[in-house]
Amino acid sequence: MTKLYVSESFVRSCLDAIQVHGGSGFMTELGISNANCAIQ
Amino acid sequence: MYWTERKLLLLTLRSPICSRSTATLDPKLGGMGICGFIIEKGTPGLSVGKKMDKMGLRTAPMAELVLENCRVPATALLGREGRGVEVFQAARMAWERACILATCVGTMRRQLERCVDYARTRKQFGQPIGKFQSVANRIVDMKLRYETARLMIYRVGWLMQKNNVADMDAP
Repeated sequence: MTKLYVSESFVRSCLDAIQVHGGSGFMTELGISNANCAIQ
Repeated sequence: MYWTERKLLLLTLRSPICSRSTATLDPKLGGMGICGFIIEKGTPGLSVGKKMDKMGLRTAPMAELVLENCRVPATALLGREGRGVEVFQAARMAWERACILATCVGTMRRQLERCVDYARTRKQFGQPIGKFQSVANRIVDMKLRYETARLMIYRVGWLMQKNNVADMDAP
């Protein structure tokens, strides 16, 4: 239950964080998209 | 009584540093045929193969464990015969999963903080982007998810401390 919820919400939060940062969210230099790549 | 391993190749976690391993009695038995053993490092016939490269949890190294003509005393059996899964499950899975999820929650918190900072400092159309609902809504969603996940992790920790069982909750 916890595993499912936390991992699902982690992925969604990572994607939201990229959206909030706009185009620069994709840049690996900022470290925002790195966590997303790692969890995917 | 001895367990004799003619030739067996196992993949075990942490084998470069300690020697707990599981072996299958008979593949037909499935999950009920797994036994746990504690084998001393210097046992004749036991050798540790090369360390494997892993995606995560690199502090728990994984390696091949080769048992060739290795005699292991019956006292080395961990738990009951054929119930190695219990040992594996009780000792590791729930704790390991809870710890992995705790790192996820930490990353979520860091990302949330960074997003809030960015939404406050970045300006578009004469105001910080956090004033726009499309940005604020995403941050609110992130905050909700973070708080819920954090409470769930704490609950798993509390259950494990209380009952030492959180099989339904952690995995």
